[in-house]
Amino acid sequence: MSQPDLDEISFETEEPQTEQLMTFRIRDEIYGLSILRVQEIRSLCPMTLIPNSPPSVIGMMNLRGAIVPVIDLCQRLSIGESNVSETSVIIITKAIDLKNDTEKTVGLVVDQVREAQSIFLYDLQDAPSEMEAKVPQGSIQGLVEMDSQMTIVLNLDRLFSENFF
Amino acid sequence: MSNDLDMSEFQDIFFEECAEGLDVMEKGLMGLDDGADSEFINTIFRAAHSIKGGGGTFGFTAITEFTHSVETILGEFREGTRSVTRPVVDLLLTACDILRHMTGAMQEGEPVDTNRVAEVQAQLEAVLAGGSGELGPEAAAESAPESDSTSSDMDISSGGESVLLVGWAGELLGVTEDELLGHINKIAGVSASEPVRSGDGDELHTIGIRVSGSMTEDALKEGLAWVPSEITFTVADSSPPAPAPQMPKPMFFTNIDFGDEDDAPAAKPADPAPEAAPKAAAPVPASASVATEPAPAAPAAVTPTADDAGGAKPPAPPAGGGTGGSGSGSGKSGQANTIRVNIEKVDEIINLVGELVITQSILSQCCAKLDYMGEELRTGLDQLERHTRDLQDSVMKIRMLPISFVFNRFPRMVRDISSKLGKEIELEVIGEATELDKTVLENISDPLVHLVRNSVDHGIEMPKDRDSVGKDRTGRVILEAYHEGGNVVIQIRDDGKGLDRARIRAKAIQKGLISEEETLSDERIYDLIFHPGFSTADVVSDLSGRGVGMDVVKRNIRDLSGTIEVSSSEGEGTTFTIRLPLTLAIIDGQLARIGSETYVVPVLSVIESNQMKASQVSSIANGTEVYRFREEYIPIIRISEIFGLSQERRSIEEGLLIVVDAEGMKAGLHVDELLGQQQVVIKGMETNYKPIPGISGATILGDGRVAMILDIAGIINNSNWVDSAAINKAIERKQLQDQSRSAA
Repeated sequence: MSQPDLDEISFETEEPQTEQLMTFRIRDEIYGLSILRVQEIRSLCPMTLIPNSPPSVIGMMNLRGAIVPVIDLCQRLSIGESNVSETSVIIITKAIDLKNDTEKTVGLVVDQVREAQSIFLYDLQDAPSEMEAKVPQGSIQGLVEMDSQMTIVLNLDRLFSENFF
Repeated sequence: MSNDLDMSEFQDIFFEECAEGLDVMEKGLMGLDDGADSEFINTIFRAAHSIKGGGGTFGFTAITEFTHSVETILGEFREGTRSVTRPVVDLLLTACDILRHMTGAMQEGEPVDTNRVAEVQAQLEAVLAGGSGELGPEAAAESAPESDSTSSDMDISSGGESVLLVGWAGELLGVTEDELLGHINKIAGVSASEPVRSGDGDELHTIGIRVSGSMTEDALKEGLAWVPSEITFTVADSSPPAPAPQMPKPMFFTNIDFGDEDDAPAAKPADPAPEAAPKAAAPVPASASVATEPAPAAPAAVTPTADDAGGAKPPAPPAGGGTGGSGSGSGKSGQANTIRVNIEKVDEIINLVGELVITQSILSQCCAKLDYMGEELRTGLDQLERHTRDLQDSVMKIRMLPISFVFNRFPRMVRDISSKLGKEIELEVIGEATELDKTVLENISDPLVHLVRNSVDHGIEMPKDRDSVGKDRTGRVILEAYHEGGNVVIQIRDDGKGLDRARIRAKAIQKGLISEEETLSDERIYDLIFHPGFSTADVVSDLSGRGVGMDVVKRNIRDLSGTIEVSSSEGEGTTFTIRLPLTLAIIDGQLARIGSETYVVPVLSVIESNQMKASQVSSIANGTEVYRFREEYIPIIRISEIFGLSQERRSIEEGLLIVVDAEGMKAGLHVDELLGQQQVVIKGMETNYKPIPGISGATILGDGRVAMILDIAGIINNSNWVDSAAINKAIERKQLQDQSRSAA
């Protein structure tokens, strides 16, 4: 009664590999994140400062009794400081702490949430090197064009792999 | 597929029971050193028997075969055909180690070291062979261990008891096993029952029941005529051969304590039974009355067995203990009420209760803001608060375990090490029923092992050295645990040679930890042994003295928010005192406002809070300030500055100073305002983030906001924040000034 190997089946039927993205806006750019990593979306709430933490770490929030760090994605990606507006939200994500190999919950403040969209993985293009140089290594999985707008697809785990956890 | 899963679940239970059984055996064997009490031997024998039986049930033949030899030797002990000697006890202890290795390896799916097993098994067999040669033909004839154990069981029970086999095919109709037992108990007192065969579906089930008083099959059939199932009864006499072919021995009466039959006068044979049996049977679910029965309901694992009590509640004397019928009856009811639950489930409940407490306080705060609050709402809220607190207390108690879980290993360890070193050492254990949190318990074990080893290895002198200084040849190590305030205190005391101040000092100078001119108090000198890489042992043994350890001990204890102190007097001994919090999950917190943030200061470390006058504060080098607190100077730590909350320094007179103490070091924390005190549930920063210096965790306050909990010891010992060298120098200078001023 062994489970059929899903990878093998998709390989045999030559089905193109797709990924569902959750897209959001930071300033004027559109970013995407695998939707499987998104737990929920929350409105901004009071946060508690974490002593001596980098400026990109806004603080700790209370997520139904769990204590969850919230980061300003804008600063983590070295775009500048985010402008908190009415549309700003916290995307609660599940990231893997690669150092300790555990799953951790982290909130990301973004300017606006857009939609869920499917992409073909083979459509992903490499990001230009000057773009990659500014962000934590490997945190941009690639670029993909959707509705004539470039979407930057993020690798959540890599985003936190450099001295975050 | 589901069968496989179930099986592995049962195997886990078996392994757990093995571990408990082995603990019981080890403890019992240790007890044999002090004299061969027959009750001890019975306890050990039963534990071995259970392991063997379980091994057979689950098809671990290696375990069964190995335990067989052990059991045979124990059987001979029990019958008195072999005298209890230290070499044999040592061998049996080694056998326990082998069994532990075997079960451990099997559980992890690792290979068993068959060479070692075979080696020890050969030794056991050699002992057995030698033994039966001495014992003559009678014992040799009995050397088959099965007949040994059975016949001795029967001998004990010769006071008018008989064995009844109750059998049925397929499911019992209209009656549960427990009810059936209850009815049989009414007809003839049942003193013990044990499944002999519990088959699946239509297979034949058999229970063996030991009944007191004589009876006939007819009487039974008459009494149970209403039972719809086709049940067969066979009355077996006290002669073992008759039931033998039907009863696979390893399963029979493995868990039953015969102590009560021993004491029960033959004149009123039914007496102990009604007491013991209903208690054992009544409070447990149907299938649980039989511990080793691999029935589907067993994972709930109510295990009303004598062995379980020995394992789960080690402070209790060996089950039953021959304290008479009523004593063992109440013992049994205690055992029947234990339940084995996965710790994760308990933690989930604890978490949920933590949330409930928070929700309750949010609700109270909301209502406190209402202009009008009706009487009913007020009483309701008050009750809610009381009940949630009670609930929280009760739930936290679930995690509490007696410290004997850790202490139990020491008698064996001390015995092994002292015989290896040729020392004579007596270990006294006090307060082993003291309870503390399971997590604390698990993490305190290694540091304690280290400290006890240290006492045995370095503390206690060789017997001839003790003789020459006029001490008793036998050294004493005392392990004591007790509650003090909100803490558990564990002390390890020895009456050995004490710490050698001069040598520690010399070593510290050699290692560059202190300079030659420095004069240090005794306390400070003893504290040096907790430095990494510090060891004064001349000979590095495989036991201790490798220079790693004491620093690890201190770190482990600090990780548990505990402290360790050492005191010693030369020639008289050394005492290590460990203070641990009762639980890691909840602390009493003093809330304090610093800037716009609320922080929690653990109340345990607060000495007092003061409004300061500028005259009480002196500035020393690098902008560090000290405060004259009672007779001493303590550094002032401005939390807002070390946490980077504000850039400009405000006058010290604004705000308050919380004087705190950690590990004997005092400091004043400068905060803006004191808020209320409340219990807070500690949540780890690491769960979703990482450890933060100066912060031991976070909690959620009544208003739903997160607050950080200050790590007082971490702040005081952080050299970036507190320049203790500069402060110490300045304080010395100031004290000199004070002295000269008062002299003038």
